[in-house]
Amino acid sequence: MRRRSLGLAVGLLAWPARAERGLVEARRLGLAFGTTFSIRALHAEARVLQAALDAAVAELRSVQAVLSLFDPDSQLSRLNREGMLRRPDPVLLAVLAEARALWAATAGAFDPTIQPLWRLWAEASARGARPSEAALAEARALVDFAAVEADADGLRFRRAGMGLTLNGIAQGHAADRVAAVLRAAGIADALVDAGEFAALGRRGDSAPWQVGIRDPRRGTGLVGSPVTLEGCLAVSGDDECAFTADRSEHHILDPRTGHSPRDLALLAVRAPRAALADGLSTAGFVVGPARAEALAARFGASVEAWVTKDGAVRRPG
Amino acid sequence: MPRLLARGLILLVLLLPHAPRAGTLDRAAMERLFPAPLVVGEKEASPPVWPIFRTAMTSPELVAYAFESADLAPIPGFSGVPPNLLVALGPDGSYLDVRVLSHHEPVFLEGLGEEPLHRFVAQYAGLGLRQSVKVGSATTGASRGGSAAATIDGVAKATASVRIINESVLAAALAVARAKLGFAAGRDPGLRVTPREDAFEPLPWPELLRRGLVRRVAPSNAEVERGFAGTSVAGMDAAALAAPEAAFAEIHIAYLNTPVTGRNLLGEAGWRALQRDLEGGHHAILLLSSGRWDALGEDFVRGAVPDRVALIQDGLPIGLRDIGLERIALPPGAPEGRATILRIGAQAGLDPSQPWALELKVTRERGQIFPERVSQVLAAAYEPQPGLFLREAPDAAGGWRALAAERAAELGLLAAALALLLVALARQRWLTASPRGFALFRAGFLLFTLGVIGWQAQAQLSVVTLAGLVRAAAGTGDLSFLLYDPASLLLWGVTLATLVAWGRGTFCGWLCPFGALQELARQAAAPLRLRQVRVPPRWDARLRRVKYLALALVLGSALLPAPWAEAAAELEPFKTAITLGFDRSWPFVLYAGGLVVANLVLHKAFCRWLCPLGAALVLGGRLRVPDWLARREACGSPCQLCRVRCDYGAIRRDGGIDYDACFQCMDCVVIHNDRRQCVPLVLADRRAARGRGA
Repeated sequence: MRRRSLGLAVGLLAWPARAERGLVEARRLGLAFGTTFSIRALHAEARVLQAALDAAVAELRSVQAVLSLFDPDSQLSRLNREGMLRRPDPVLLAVLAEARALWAATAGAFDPTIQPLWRLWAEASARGARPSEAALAEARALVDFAAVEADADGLRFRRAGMGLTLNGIAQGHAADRVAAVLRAAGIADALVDAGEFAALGRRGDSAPWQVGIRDPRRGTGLVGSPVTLEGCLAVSGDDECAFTADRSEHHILDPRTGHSPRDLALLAVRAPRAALADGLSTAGFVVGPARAEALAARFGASVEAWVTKDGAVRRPG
Repeated sequence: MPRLLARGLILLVLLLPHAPRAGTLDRAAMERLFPAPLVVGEKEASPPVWPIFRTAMTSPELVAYAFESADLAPIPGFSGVPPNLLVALGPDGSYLDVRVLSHHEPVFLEGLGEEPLHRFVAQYAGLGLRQSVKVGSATTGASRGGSAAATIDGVAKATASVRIINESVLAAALAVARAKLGFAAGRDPGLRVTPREDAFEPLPWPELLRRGLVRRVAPSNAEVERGFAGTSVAGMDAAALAAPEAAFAEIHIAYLNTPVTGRNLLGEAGWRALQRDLEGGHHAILLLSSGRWDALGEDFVRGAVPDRVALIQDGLPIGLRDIGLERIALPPGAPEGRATILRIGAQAGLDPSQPWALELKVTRERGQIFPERVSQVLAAAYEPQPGLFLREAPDAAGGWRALAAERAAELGLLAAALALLLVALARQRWLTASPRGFALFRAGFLLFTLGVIGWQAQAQLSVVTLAGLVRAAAGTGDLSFLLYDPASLLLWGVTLATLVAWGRGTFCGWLCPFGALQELARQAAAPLRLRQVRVPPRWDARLRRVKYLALALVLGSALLPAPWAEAAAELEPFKTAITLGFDRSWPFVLYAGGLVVANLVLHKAFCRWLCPLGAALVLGGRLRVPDWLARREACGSPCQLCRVRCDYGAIRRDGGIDYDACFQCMDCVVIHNDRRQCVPLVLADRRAARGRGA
């Protein structure tokens, strides 16, 4: 199943932004995690700027090499193939730790071990069919984050056939690390889009970074007014990678039923860190809008917006 | 000295570094090729592609993958160096642009110029990977056999070179498509899949169903209701709630191109009409909708693209259109309902031998003024029967085979003529029995060599091939470019074989079109009675060495950058005289023509003293074993007739033949067999006559 790379959030900015503060702006575009990435940064000196961007792209590539399911040689892909992994990268361990916290907080609604379910849906939809309930039940039996062991030897799945997908959190983590590298290189103003957004500082014209959330039903329109971004934003939606033409079944699956949640088409979460925002938007999609708000509050984040399947838009606060 | 040179060259080949194959474009160059509003993204490592974006509303949209063919599919051309093409491939597998970055094909560098090459690659824009792109010969041009193949015009006299270029583009694009566009790994988009015409037997409707040639899908009301559960339109269908187990719809689908389905379902007349409609390689599917739900819908218009029906294969949608028939008569046993035939274009890339599915969209509406629509999709999967299709390997992979097949007649003629020559030379006594007869045979064969082997089949052997071999061997090690010119390959085979058996003379004296040109020019100029310039043996010996220098120059320059190699190769007048028929700029015509004119007084001066290919053949001829040309004991002691008569100075004082210089013109053999010319024979006859006489 080919994942179509549709970014849900749109960086809405005047381009090229007037660098009024005497800053130079530069941008790098490319492909990562099955989608396009964009890193925009500002700095007074072009040399420093380019060096920082080079480091940022390199960091993104190295995170991709560990976490991307699209790369058959990544640590994650190897873990899924072999059921075990020696000497896991600290990045992988960090992400798994974050995922575990969310898993515990949502009582299993957020569970990265849904990869067997995902595979089942992908294979069935490629044939133009849906998986049978029996097959779904079988796959659900393999979904259990508690069965992922991490110890001094490495990582291991306790049951054969288990698989991990970090798609619900990896892009956010990548955005965080890229932002950290930019900060370390002396950049104070940047907007990182690695599938999820992390913002530093402000735009060239001193206005805050603004991000628009694309309407999942009408490809070009936006949901409400643009979001002023200080910090990070993550959006989960049903049109990124759908298994059925009507998008009732898509890449976000409820680990407890094996089907996609019925109520939401889109959920956007704002948080101080992108990995957190990413995980919360995925988890919130599964638990539903009401519980998502409470969940976000526990982690110091907030729900920015959501869109239900029948098109209703809510922007709390 | 030649041996020393040969050894030196081999050493050179082994020591020099291999030709570089890495991609040549850096970011700056890419940004020049793809200027604003396009943005060149970060280059991917594997496969080495540049993503190209367009910033729309500042959210970047991927518009193309750009890559160099030499990075992904370095196929050596005739110069031994792979052509390098920049290909921009859209995310849907269509070619957006193909440009030539570098090439070293001799035919485009000098002969035809670059213009035909640029015109050739411009044809790719708009074609797609789902079509197997073939190069038609410049004479036929039109698409052969249609199907999901697009044919682009070739370039006359450069057929082999452009086919290699086409292969490079296709192979590189496929590599990127498999990595980036999710083309199914096992499925080669270039593959031609056609239904087998012979797989037919008359079958009634129930049997068609039983064998899976017609597929029936009948979802129940309950199933459909489940699909709408939890939505705002749940429970709207009262009839469905009343009879949950009853069928919501009854759908039958079948792939019609195979005779066993198409003919059985549509009857003879209908089948023939359908085949006419599908000419050009299109596909057709039958969709029969009985039951409560109509797959087509009331507002369906004949000939239009259906709203509720979509076809998916490998997760990718394939376009459908109603074929526009008013009535379709189905065989008895088929349920009553609305039948339609849907047509799929040849270009869409459907592989009928692989499973596909029809997706049928069921929609419910709630509300009157601004109705709310909820849909679900029912899938009807179709598994084709094995054994009903022919899967043909793409033309590109067997490209040289196709080429050989095309030129089969020509190759047959060449092979026959070569066989005739070999037989004739082997039976030298018979061949030279009658001096006049032999002269006629020689003149005739030389005309064939010049006209057919040279101008028609373009099979003039050249030292450029040897240089290309050196380059290819030192670089990629891929010698398959030789297969693209089967006529030359045939000539090479015969030349090498006779080289070992008879020496260089077979090629130089009989099979070289330029040599034949010189000989025929001499014969034509014979009435002029021009005074021949005879070169003294010492000078002859010195001048002969010049050609080894020429050979060293050409082969050595093969390891230098291409422009040097090309310049060195111009020592040969063959391209001017034979490939282009003297249609070239005046300095080259002067050189080649001058050599032919000089030959009128200095017999085959180029061949004996300058030809680098000749030098190579002499070196190879050292492997010859038999001294096969007929000589007598009396030759050389004291008779010197043949030596004096030999136009090539190839007979030594002692009567032995110097095979390095012998062009096998057979003059000395004619003399040897002619009782009226061969001195020992004449003397022997006189003695016999005197003995018999008084």
